[in-house]
Amino acid sequence: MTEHRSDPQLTDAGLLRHFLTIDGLSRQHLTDILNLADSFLNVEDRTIKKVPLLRGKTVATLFFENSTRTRTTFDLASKRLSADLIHININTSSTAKGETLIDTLRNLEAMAVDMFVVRHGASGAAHFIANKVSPGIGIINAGDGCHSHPTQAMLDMYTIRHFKKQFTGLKVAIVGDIMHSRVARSQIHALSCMGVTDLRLVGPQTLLPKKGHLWPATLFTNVEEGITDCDVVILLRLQKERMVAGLIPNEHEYFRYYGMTKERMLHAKPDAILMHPGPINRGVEIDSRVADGKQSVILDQTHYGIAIRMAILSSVMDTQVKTRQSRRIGYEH
Amino acid sequence: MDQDLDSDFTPTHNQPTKVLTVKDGLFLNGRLLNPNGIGTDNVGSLTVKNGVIQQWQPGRSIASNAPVAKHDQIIDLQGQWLTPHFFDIGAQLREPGFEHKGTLTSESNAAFAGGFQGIAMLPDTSPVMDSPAVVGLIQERAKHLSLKVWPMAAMTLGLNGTQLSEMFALKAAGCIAITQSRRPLSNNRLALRCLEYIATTGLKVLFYSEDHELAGDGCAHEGPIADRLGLSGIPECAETTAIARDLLMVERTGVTAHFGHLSSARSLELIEDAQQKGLPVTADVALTHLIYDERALLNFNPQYHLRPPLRSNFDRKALLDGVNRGAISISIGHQPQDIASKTAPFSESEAGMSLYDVHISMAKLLIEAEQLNPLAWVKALTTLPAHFLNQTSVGLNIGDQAAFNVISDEVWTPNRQSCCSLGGNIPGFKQSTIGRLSYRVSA
Repeated sequence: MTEHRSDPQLTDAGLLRHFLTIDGLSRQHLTDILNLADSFLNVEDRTIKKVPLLRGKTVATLFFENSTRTRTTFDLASKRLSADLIHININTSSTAKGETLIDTLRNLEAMAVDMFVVRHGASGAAHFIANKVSPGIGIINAGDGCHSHPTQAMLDMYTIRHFKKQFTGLKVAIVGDIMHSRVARSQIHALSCMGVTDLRLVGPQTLLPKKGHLWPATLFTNVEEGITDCDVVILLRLQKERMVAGLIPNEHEYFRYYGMTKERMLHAKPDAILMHPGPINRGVEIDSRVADGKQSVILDQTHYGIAIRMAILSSVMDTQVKTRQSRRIGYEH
Repeated sequence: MDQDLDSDFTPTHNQPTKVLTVKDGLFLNGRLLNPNGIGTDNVGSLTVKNGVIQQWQPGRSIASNAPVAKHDQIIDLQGQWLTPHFFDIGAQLREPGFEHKGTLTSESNAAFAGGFQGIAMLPDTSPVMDSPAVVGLIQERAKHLSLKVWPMAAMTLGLNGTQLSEMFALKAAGCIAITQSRRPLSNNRLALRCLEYIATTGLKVLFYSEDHELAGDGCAHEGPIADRLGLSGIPECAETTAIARDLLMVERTGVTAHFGHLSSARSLELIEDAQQKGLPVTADVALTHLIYDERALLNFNPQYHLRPPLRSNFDRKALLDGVNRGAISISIGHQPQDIASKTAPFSESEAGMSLYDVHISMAKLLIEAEQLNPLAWVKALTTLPAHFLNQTSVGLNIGDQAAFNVISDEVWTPNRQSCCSLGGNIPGFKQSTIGRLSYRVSA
C-alpha cells in the first residue's frame, strides 16, 4: 500500500541526471566518478588550470546554509571546467523576504541557468528542487539537512581508494554524531556500495541510530572497541546545538570519552588513516596531535574535493546535454 | 514533477453528488453493508414505500421479473453496495480564517460526495472556536450546508493551553465536545483542571494525544526510514506517554473521552486495556494510517507529511486489525491545504491530506486487497463514531426514512471537476482510481 517511484537522479538509461544522494547508485556509478576524478587531478598542474567541458554553461550556487570549503571547492571545480559561475547570496535574497523556495527557483530558471549547486537545511530539499525543476537543468546536492552530502562522501571514497587501493576487506569506523550527520549517511551508503562489510558506527547512544533500524553497520558506544583494528577512522564534527538539545553533557566530557587522541588511535591499525570532513573542532572530537599527525589525511580530502566535484559536475552536465539533444532530435522528427 | 499534488488549481464550488429521491421504489441486487440493522452483509432487494424502508428481501432477483406495476422506480443495483450514511469526527473545514485552503461549503460538499451525513469539526479556525460567538457564526453558516456540521469547541482560550474556555456557555451554544485539537497542553495541572471542569459540564472530550516535548521538531516516525532520510523523528512514545497521561486523568475525572488518530499498535493496546478496565473511552485511526506506512516517505513526497506521522507496517497492520475487530472507528483525517503549503521540502511543508472526495476509493483498495473487511469499514464509519456524536439511529431498519449511500466500482479520476474540496492535496489527483459514491438515496 505504499508508492515507490523511480530514482529522480537517474535517467531511464541509468545516467546521472542529478546528483542528490549516494543511496540508489551502483558501484559502477561511483567507480566511474572516481575514475573521472583521476583524470581531473592533474588539471591544477597545467599552466592554464582549465578544461573546456562546461564552457558556455552557467552554474549557480544556491546556499541556504553557510559553507566555506564546500562552496569554495565547487567554485574552483566550476571555474576549472570553464563554466560561468553565479552565487546567490540567500541572506540578501528574496527568500529572506518571504519568497518561497519554489518561486526563487522559478526566477533563477528564467535566467537560463544550466545547473544548480544547492545546500539547504531541510532534508530532501535537493530532491524537492530536482522534482520541480524544468527538464534539462541539473541539480547537485551540496548538503541537505541531516540527509545527504554525496559529494563529500565521494571525495572520502577517493581519499580511501588513494591510500588503501581497494575497499574489499577494509575495516572502517565512523565516530561521532552519526544521527545528525548528512556526511555519515552518505559515507555509509558509499562504503557499503563499494564493498566495505566491516563498518562500525561509534558514539554515545544519543548520537547513534536506534538499534534495529537496519543500517549496514555495527553500533559501538565504546570508542576503543569501535576502532580496534580499523584501516580507516572517520571523525565527525560535533555541533554545539547537540549540547543544548541535551544529547551530551558538554564538550569536555565528549572529548574525554570519544575524542580522538594519539593513545586511542593506537587501537586502530598502525597504518590506519584518519579522516574528518571539516571544519575540525580541536580539543572536542580530535586532539591537535592527531589532526596534524602522520595518519591524518584531512587536507588530502579537501584537495581531492575539487577533482571529485569536477567529475560530478561534468557527468551531470553531460547527461543533461544529451537529454536536451535527444529532445531536440525528437522535435525535429 | 510530483504527480499527486494539484498544480493546476482552479477554485470551484462543485456539488456533483447525485441525489436520487425515492418515495416508492425497489432496489434489486444490492449488497447491503449494514452493521446495525437489517441485512448485515448480503445481497438482496430493498423496498421503499412512502419514503420509508418497507422490506429487505435477501437473495438475487432478475430485474425483468420485478413487479413493475407495484413500484414507481425499479433499480437493478447489480451488486453495488448499499450503506448507511457515514459520520466523521475531527474534520478541518478551514472556515473561518483559512478560506484559501477550504470553506465550509467546499469541504462539506466533499464530505457529502463521500457519503457522510454528519461531521464533527475541529476548533482550530481563526478566530479559534473558543467562544459562543464563533460557534454561533459557524452554526449560522452551517445551516445552508448539505450535511450536519457539529462544532467541537476549544478546551483552552485560543487553544493556547493556558486558560480554560467557557465550557458551559459553549455547550449551551451547541458544541458537542471539547478538544485541544493537536495543540500542546503540557501543563499537567491545567490539563487535570480542564477535565474536571469538563466533567461538570457533561461534555465529551476528544484527545489527539501527543507529548510535544518528545515530538520536538519531528516530522516523521522515528524509525528506519526517517533515519535513512535524515528526517527529524517523532518517537512512538510521544503518543503513548501522552495517551497514558490522558487515560489516567480520564480515570480520575470520569469524563467520556475519544482518542483520535491513533498511529501505533502500542496506542491501541493502551486504549483496549483501558476499555477492559471499564473506562468510558473510544478511539479512531485515520484512514491514511490504514493505507500508508513510513515507506511512503521515500522520495520525500510532502503529500505524505501527516500528523501523527505514518509509522511502521507493523503498526498499520495492528490498527487495521483493530478496525476489523470493531475495536476502533475510522476518522477520515480530512485536512485540506493550499498548494503553497505542500510545495516545499518535506519538513517545511504542512501536514495533512484532503480526503473526503477520495476516501471510498482509498478504502476500496484495502478491501480489494482483503486487508479490510467491508462490513467492519462501514461499522467504523457509522455505528462507532455515532456513539461519540450521540447519534442513536445509524443503521438501516424497517420503518426508517430511506436515506442511504449507493457505492459503485466506477473507474474515475479525481480532478477539479470531479472533486469538491478546495484542497490542493488530494491523494491520487489526476490518477485513475476505482470506487466512489454512485449516488445518495433520499426520500
